[in-house]
Amino acid sequence: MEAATETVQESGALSFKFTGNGKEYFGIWIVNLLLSIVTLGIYSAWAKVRRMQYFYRNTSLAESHFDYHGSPTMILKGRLIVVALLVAYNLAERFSPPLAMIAFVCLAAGMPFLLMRSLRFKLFNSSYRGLRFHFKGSLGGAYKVFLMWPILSAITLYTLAPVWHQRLKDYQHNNSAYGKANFSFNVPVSAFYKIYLTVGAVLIGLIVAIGFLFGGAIFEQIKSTAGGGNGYMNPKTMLLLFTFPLMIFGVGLLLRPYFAARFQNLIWNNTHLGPHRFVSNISARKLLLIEVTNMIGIIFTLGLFKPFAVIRTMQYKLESLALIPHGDLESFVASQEAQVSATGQEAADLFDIDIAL
Amino acid sequence: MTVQGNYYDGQSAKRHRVELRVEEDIAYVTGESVDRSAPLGSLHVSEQLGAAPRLITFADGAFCEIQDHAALNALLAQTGYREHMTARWQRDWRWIAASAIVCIVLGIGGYFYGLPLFAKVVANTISDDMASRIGHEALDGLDGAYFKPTQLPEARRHELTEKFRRLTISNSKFLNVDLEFRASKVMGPNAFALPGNIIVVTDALVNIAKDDNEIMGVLAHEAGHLEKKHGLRLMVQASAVGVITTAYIGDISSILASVPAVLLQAKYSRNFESEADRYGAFLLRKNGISPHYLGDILERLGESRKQKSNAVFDYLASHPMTEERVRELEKAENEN
Repeated sequence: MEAATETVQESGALSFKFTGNGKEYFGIWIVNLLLSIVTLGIYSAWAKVRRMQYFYRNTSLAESHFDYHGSPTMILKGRLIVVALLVAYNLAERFSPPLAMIAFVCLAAGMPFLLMRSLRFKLFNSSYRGLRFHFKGSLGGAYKVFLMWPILSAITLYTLAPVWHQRLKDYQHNNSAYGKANFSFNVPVSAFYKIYLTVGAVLIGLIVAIGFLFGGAIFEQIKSTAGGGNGYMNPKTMLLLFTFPLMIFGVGLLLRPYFAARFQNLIWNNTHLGPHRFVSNISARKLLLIEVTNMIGIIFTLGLFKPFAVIRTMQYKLESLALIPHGDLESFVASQEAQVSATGQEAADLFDIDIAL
Repeated sequence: MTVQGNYYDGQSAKRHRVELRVEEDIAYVTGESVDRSAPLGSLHVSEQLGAAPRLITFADGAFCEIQDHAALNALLAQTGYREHMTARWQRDWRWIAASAIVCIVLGIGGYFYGLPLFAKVVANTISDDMASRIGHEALDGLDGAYFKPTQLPEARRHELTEKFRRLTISNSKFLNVDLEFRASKVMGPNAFALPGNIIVVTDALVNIAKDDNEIMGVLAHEAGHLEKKHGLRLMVQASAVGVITTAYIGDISSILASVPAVLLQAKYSRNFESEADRYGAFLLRKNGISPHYLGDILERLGESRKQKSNAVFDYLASHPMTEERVRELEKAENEN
């Protein structure tokens, strides 16, 4: 009897469920949008809280729900900091290039700190069954993944980009915790290289093919239609020059869902929470279908389809993810308690930097 | 009247099945190892977000999670609770429709009026130094791609530069223009203005002109673009549209996001062309040159263009209304 329950629980993957729907979200989204425009963007911090609460509270695992606790004023503070930094940088650039250099260095040096704080904000303000998540990444770690690895990958002409990506995921997932249980993540760099090389090879192949098929034709057309006119560069030429990157973009559009799907699967299939593991079986083809139809919808409704698009993608991504509990999930979750270190004092210093990671 | 729910203390993830009831403005939560109460005023009720459970939170962070929306709404109605107005708008189709209409109107208005105005303001704040850097960078790019050094004799270039300097000096607030001569097969007879007071004129344009006044007409028109900062304004508009569309469409590449910018550019630039024409005519008249010279060379350029052009793209061309422009210039001449 004991053994029987054990096997059921071992194989019994618990799917994430998402109960959001496009019609409901449209109302939230359009009112958010209007109020954000009318308040010149200030309301966008409150809008973010409403949006996140809608997403989190409509997400459930084992019949319990998630929640988002971000404070709008802290989000606004984070946004103001980012705007102030960008304005300062632009002013410096206008008035003196050496000053701009210094501003750029300061910005680069400060960014890892801000990004680390924003990861902490995001996790600290996420909860499941009333218990919050935590991010414990160190500042040194943040400097490595947000400064050292980007620089190293740039100077090696991005041949080290997969290493950077792996270190970033390692930093995020190995430093996250739920109550007293830690997340763990263990994927070798070679697995990242494998996906990057596959995508890179397909991308190069398609670009070369497009180049052979259309490159000559485009060049001929530029030569024959250009000439004449007395104003700015001939828009015909511009439009034609435009076609080529658009095709490359089309290729990118086809490959992006593949890339996203492979990585979601790789990363979550190798992430554990305590003794439990996650499993993700997202399909690149379905994700592509969703994204292409979303884009068509957005273009033909002049953007009004956006909230439906967001819900469709989120629903598919979440419902492709499941938790495989090891032993009794209920008693594991019920025994989780808040960590003493996560005091209210600490939370009060956190602010959000809106950069998707 | 009681409502079923789950209670979490906020310190552990342990779930307690509880019942919620309200008596005389005091809420009672009772169930599996929970028995607490609090005055209604100290509780926070989360707004209704679709099928998501609603949370009734105590001051210490403990909360009741309630999935039974109908029962909770009945209870809340009894207590006289009223949801925040934004939360009600989000579900009311009249507010949703009104918001959608207002957003669309604001979007269209912003696109046609707000954006050009914004670009004008921003373009005026760009320093001459910065503009000159942008212009020279663009010229370097064009030099690499389309241009060869000019074949015009130095004396001829000097003569035209001098004539143009005299033309512009007549206008007190003008502009020290850097006139650049280039040869280009691809560009044909052409002249254009770049930020930072640069005007580039091709050898072919100098050669197609039957009178130096015609060249001065074209240059005066380009000077109009510089005076009104058209180049910078187009640049600001294009990047603003790019940024907004990218932020809006989200994941989708900025290349797609610049499509509306390019389409818009064609429309804006028609307005800019006539503005530059008016300025050009004004500058010419000021120097006792008839604006018809500009009209003449425009017509000739239009002819040479028609022979080569590909009709499909004509709608988008930035100089499609040569005849109309010539008519306007003739009018300017008659006023003279």
